[in-house]
Amino acid sequence: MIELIALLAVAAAIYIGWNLGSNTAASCIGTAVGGGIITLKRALILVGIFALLGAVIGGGQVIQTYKEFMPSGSITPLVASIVCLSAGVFVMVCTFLKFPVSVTHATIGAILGVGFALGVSINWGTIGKIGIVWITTAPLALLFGFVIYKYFNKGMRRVKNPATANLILKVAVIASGCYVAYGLGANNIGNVAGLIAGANIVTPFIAAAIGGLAILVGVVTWGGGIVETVGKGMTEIDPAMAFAAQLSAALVMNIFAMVGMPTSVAHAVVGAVIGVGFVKGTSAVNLKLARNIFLAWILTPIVAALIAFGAFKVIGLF
Amino acid sequence: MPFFGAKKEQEAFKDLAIHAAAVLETTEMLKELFQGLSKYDHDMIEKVASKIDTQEYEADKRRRNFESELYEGAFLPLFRSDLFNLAERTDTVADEVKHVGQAVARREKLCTVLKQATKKDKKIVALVNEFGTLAAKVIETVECLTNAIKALEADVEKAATIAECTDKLEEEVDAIEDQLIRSIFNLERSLDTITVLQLRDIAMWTGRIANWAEDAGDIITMIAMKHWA
Repeated sequence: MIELIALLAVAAAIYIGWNLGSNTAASCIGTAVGGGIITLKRALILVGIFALLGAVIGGGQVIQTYKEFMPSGSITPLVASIVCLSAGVFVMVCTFLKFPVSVTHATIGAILGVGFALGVSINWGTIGKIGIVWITTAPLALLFGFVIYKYFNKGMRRVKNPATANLILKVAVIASGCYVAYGLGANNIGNVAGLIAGANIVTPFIAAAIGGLAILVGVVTWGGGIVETVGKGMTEIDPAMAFAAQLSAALVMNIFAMVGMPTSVAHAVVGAVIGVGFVKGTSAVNLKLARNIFLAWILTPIVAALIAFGAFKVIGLF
Repeated sequence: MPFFGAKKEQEAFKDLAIHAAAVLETTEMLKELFQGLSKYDHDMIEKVASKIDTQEYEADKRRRNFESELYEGAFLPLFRSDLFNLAERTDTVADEVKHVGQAVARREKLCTVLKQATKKDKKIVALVNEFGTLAAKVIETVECLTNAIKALEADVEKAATIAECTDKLEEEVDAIEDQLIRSIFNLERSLDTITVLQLRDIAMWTGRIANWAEDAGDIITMIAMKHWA
């Protein structure tokens, strides 16, 4: 029975990884595909590989953070299963309703929900730090986006040869897209692997490898449609803007991954795009979008916590 | 020198320059066309108009080559659309030259009418020669555009600086065209109405070639401003 629950937890974690890969591939390389810089097939393979590398190489700290949310021993295979399934189902329903939410926010909300249901002491210090990270993700990405785009543009103006400028932009967009994928893998792997490692079902490294592969499969099998949709919608963003936004989002994701703080890739990308927009002097702040992000930011952890809390209590009846 | 790896773009630039050279070659035939007019030699005009036709077709092929390279993925979309517009507008120059060639060649009687008119009014000789002056300035404008397009491959700012001269030259073409049309109307007593209107149209359409060259030059300036300003 315990093995079966452990297997269920791994399956649920894989499901979250698959979800993450299929939903966030567009944030990594949508612009490059939409702009005809790279074919969809190549883009998906690159994103998948770099996300896997990010998970395995840079995901250790974030996995450790997930293990420390609750006292040692309270993260069991059953807890891991409930958290992953609650977060996964919630994200899937929101995606179906075309209301994009952060997998990170949902997973942490679900952990809190199960923690409350268990009545164990929650590591509020870490939760507080994560809250600060969530608040600062978009502004930090905005700042990076502003600075990187400003100076990158300045540098590009010195390149007078259009063929060379074209090549630099192509390489920059693809490389920064790969870096976003790496940042995504490193930062968000905790959602996938943190709990199965915390429940001691597998070692953190194996958990990261399983999670990374799940993200890769998600990108390759289901990421294509979203990449194409986002790509077509983003052709107005020129390659220099795309590069600056992608690099900024990737830096934020990577920096937070290095200190073990999980955050939302979507928030990082949106913040970076706004920062880039400021350099162009355009009012890139879409109030409706900002309101939706804020609502999602507040509601996602709360709703995911309620679902996980309810699920744990219902299962406890049996 | 561009970086290694920009082969597709370098090839495309070569074809853009070849297209511009073909357009210039087409435009240079205006000189011969108006020589035919000043000699009142309709056969010569017909031959030149036919040569212009062939050369314009060659320019079209070059343009299509360049555009197919763009469709096959040379350059990022933001450069692609500007370069596409540049090739199209440059090609309009050759189209207009063809139009002028046809306008001069279509009316066989034009040479006879002009030749007879010179017997009554010697100013007609000067008037016909003025078309040569207009053509020379138009060719100069298109030459300037061609040089700017050639420079685009290596240095976009240099290309934009060269392209600025199309503005100045087009102004000069406008002045010559205006003077020529005035001269045509001043000679309305020596010429029949159809000839006056035909000559006016030829002068206007010849002048319009410089307008198209200027528009193409503006696209180069715009590329420089949009991406490098």
